Amino acid sequence: MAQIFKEDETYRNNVAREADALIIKHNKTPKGLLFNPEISKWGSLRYASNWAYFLLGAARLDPPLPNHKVKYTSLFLYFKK
Amino acid sequence: MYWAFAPKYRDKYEQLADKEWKFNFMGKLERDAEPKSRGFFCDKYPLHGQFGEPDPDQSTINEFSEQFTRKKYNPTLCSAKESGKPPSNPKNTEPKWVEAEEGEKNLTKGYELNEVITKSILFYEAQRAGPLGDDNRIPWRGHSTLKDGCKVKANLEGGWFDAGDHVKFALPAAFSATLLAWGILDYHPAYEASGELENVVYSIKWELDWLMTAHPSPNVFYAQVGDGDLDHSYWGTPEKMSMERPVYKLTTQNPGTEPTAEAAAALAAGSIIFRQIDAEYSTALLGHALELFAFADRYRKEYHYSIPEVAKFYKSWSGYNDELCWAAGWLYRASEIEYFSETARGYYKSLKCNYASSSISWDDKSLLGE
Repeated sequence: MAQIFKEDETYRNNVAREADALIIKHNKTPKGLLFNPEISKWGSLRYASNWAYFLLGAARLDPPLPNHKVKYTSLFLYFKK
Repeated sequence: MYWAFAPKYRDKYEQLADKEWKFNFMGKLERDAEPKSRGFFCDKYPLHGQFGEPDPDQSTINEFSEQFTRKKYNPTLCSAKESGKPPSNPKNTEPKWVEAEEGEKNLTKGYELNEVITKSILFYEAQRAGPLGDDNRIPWRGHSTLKDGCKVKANLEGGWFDAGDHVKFALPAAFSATLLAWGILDYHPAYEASGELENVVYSIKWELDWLMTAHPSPNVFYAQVGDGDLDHSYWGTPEKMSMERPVYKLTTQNPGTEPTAEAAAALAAGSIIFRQIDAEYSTALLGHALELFAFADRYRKEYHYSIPEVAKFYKSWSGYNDELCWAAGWLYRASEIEYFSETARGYYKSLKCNYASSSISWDDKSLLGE
């Protein structure tokens, strides 16, 4: 929605909030994949890669999210590693 | 006027925002009454409260859907002797990929990302059901499930298998296709650079083709082929399967919103990709997507009530609002019909009534909807 309706701040703000929440709240595996056994003990790679996809999308929003830019850019580079 | 949709509370009387409500599928809400009553309603009926503008601009939608011709049922395969054929000369797959340049390898700490892309695409090719063509790159796979759908006179032989089993579940398969399509749209330079763009596009085409044939008329959608329990008690290859493969059909009397809306999303996303490659195919994708969305939106029911057999495997825990929002968003992106913009925004509001669940999966797309 943030991609399609660029002019509407609601979606962009929600993306920023959820992205922050993902990074802060969830556990990470030793190599950095997001993991949350409360959501699912199964399919951890599925969830981790979908979250990574969401964060990549958040990092690449055009125009970039204010205040979050540095963080997500670094995260983006992290996933590129 | 807004309307509210609450099938679960049909014929129930409730006092809401100082008004007596009878839930009879549809209710009306004064525009002035928001946001108080809307918030109230949302809190109380998080999964079923639904807000949106009343009627779609049906004429614009018809214009699109009249432009495509549906594929006719072709019974040729049903007369075949066997429903599968193992490969005559099975071999291991030997993936080949374009090696990254030295500079990129340094950046990725030696990880070969082209290898990852290549192999992930091959995975979907190994999951192919139906008659394989000359483009098959998995030498240990042969023709399978050629007779799927014969009993109901539908061509359901293709598509993707679910996981390690051989059931075709439309909801997770269509979701995979939507997400892959999104990946292609957003990152096609990366696919192109790794020389895999064509492969990934034809990889999702396999599932898109199936979704279209699983939708033989506007208000019919085949959401599952094969029985989970029967299938899981068989230990063997799909080429040699002989068990009963029941077909589960969604109709106006027996609707299922989630897979239908998800298929609409996948086909809409696919239509954007194929617009440049094959305009006629793209129009067909969009036409099917529009009809599927109308079917999903007008006849709402959580699909595990219509297909109880699915509940053990892919029950929709999160309800259908996320799929409807997601599909409307994709349809807007593909068709630019203003109605879908309104619809997507409307469903989005109903998502936010519910607390965000932070997971992304075949079931819950609320986060991706953002």
